[in-house]
Amino acid sequence: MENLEKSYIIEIGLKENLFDAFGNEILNSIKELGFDNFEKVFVYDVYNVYGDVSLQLVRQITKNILLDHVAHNAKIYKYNNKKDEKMPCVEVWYKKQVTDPVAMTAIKAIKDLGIKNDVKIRCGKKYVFSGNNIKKDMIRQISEKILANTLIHDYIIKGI
Amino acid sequence: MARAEIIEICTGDDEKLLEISKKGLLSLTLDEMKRIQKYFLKIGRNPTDLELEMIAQTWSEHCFHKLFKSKIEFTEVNGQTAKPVTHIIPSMFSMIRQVTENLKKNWCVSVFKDNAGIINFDDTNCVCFKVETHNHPSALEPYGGAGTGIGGVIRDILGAGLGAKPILNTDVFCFGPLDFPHENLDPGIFHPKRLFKGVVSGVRDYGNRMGIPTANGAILFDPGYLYNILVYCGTVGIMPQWAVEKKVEPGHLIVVIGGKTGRDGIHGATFSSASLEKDIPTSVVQIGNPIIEKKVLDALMIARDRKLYSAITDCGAGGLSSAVGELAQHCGAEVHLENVPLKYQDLKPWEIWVSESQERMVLAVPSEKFDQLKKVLEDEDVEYACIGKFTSTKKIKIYHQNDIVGELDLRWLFQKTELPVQKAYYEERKMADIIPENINVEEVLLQLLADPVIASKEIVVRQYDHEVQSHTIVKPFSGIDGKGPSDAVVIAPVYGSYRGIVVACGINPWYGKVDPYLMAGCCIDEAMRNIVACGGDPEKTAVLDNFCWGKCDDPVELGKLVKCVQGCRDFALAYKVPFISGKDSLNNFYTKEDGSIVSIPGTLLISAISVIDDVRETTSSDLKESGNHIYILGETRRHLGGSRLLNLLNFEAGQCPVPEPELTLKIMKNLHRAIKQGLVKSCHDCSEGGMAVAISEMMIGSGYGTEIYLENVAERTDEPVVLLFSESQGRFIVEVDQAHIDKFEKIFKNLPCRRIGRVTPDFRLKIFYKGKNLLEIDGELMKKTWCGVLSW
Repeated sequence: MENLEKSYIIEIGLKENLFDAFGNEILNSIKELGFDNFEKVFVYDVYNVYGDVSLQLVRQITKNILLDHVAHNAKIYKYNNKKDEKMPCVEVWYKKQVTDPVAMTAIKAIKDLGIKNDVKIRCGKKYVFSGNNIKKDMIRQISEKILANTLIHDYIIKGI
Repeated sequence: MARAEIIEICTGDDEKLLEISKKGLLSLTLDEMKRIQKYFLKIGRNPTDLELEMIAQTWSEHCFHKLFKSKIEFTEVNGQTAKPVTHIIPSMFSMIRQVTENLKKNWCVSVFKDNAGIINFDDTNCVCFKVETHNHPSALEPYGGAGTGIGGVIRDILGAGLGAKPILNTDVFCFGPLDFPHENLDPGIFHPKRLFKGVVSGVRDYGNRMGIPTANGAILFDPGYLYNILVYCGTVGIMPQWAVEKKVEPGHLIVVIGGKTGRDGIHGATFSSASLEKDIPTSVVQIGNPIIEKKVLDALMIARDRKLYSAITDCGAGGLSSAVGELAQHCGAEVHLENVPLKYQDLKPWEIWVSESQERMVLAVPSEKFDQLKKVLEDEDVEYACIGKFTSTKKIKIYHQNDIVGELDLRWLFQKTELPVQKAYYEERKMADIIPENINVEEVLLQLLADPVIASKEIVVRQYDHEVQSHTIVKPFSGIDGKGPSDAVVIAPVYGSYRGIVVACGINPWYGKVDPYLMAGCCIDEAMRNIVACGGDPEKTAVLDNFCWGKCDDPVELGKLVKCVQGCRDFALAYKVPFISGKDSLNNFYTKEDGSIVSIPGTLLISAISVIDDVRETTSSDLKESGNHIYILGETRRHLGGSRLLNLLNFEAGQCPVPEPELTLKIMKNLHRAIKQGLVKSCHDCSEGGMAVAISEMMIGSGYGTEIYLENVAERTDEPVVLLFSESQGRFIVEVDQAHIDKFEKIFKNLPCRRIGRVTPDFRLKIFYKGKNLLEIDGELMKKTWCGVLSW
């Protein structure tokens, strides 16, 4: 996706032993669409952090603002369009001109922590799929019919 | 920095004028463009883009309600006249207003002029109620659209008088069938299930985060809503009586508080006046941010009580243009757009002026109070900016960094003009009377309980916080395990006082397909029934109307709307309930790729609010004790037209219910007395699905069974199918214990009040007809069926 900024991605998901209600709901909707070959959906909150940031700062933001240590795990990596995903997945991001309230709140929280850097954030969701014989076109259909509204979202399919 | 553009209109011919309107997405008609041309020719210059945008917004159907204010040449063909009769109707709005004026209820404090209807609550407080629709935005982006729908109506309450505290949200949705096959779906629209989930999530997340209980509503499903869904959001607020009047004076500062301004929702006001088509710009979509609105709410309540501002209104459709324009209407204003806090810097002046970014309010602040107001806003972490002041020039002058980007005469802008006369045509539909024969009543009752329109909406309701603020007395569900549906919600909003309000609604588009006039009566009857069934006072009930209609420049569609408005007037007068607020959303139609047009079924939502002395004198719908007697109040007639039974059997026929206001009002007043005296153990109204469904729902809430003797239901025993499933209005099922039957029957002497059966200990529904066992169903099966229809 050309308008996603460089720098870092923070990926936050539920710990493995916890019941993922949202993932299950998405899986039900996928089955209602007629794709019975999908077995599980993992849902992550993703944050694209850019601007005046370092890895250390991103770690600080993750630890102090974005992460619920009891329920969540976080992964931080440098943004790379060609990152190898092991499983088929799709990222859904707000289009640039659309108001992103969660990002606004996160930026406010960063300022409240006393961080003076000009940090910018965009929020999105990442859905990782497992199942048999998953095709790119199926994920495209699922993205457009369930996960993304192309009026306000961009989506990128990866790992397939 | 971008400046205002001059739009050349003074020299344009008709074609050019229309092109300007179309290109700018202004939705202005040729007549309106000509009026604008005339104005600018007179003052000897061309308008700026900002001026044109402001005019388009002020005159838009959404903000000005042109159709409801227009004269209508109405031609009607009905059974009595046989020949078409034409007469002129002054306006639909005047018909609605007439009701409130004629009824002269002294507890109506402010009607049809402020952001919400305001009625008296107790010696020191008023309550206000407003219901809005957010149909187009929700169809395009269900989550954001529905969220900003509820956010918007909450701001209406914050902007009513000097601001009320929101205490209750209501929501009513209409969707296409949730099981509609994906492969048959038009590519331009979302599947009903996605819309359903998105809309419910949007209302849930916004309402819950605002800390306001969402505790009353309805959800309807019909193929007529496949292309255009309906999303009604309502809010009730409470305010001190001194805060009802607002006043703007020259010299007061114009202060905008809350969210920043961006490109969100540009052209919402003009866009909502157009039909839905496939290609829609991103900018019409708004995304809500309830956290900002919650902070605005908290700050406003403090500032109001310290009397730090003298007038307030919300930024809704039309943004600052509409909010400042309305406040300045009778005086004038000077605005400096460069002071408006922006989300990003590249906005053009006209975009700042008409943007519909959410969570903003506009205040009129006496200059000596500004420092104190600043302190409150800063303490509550609310962003604000002083963007100008009110003047006495009767003009609005808008600057952007020292340039004048707009100057309009407000008297001209808000001038009442001769609106074009609309043509409407209505022909009464003759429906064959039909009684379905050879149907298995047991099967049919179970099918009706599984009808998504009737089935439990618990999966939705439980997502809403209906307890927050801890004043919800009769909750959306009642009974031993909280599965029985309540007719209305009762809340006691003032801590330490038992005084309360009852809120309910009535909606039924299927009657409207048969007869829009009677539909209006049935909706009013249903809303009042729901109010009274819970303990509300029929004589202290006020109603709100919300019309959602299809393509209204089609005389036939408009004809149905006119009939519906006439019904509202006639029946509201007959039931003696005043309208205190209302809103219309027209042009709910979709233009398909092949050019064909799909209109929604004309839909009227009646929301009702009643003030009661004591919330302990209320009742719920679940049966309370085995051995108690069951009564039916009201007359059961052959009213199957538009019923769920005929919908289920796919018949479009029959007589739709004819309300009997005189009789029903008597029953309601007496029922209210009986509930107040504690004679009623449980009460439920008969609506969709008729008596059989009403009794089933009372059982489901309780775990008790019933034995019903059908021949006792009506004086002249009719066909059992009619007795079970007729949707005659004005009927209640009431449970009374042995000790109180004499007193109860005395209250209803000379009124249709019939003892039809008993509550039994075993969880089974048994219905007998003339000594024969007509129907017997296991309660658990009924409960499982009714509760298991909607899935998330």
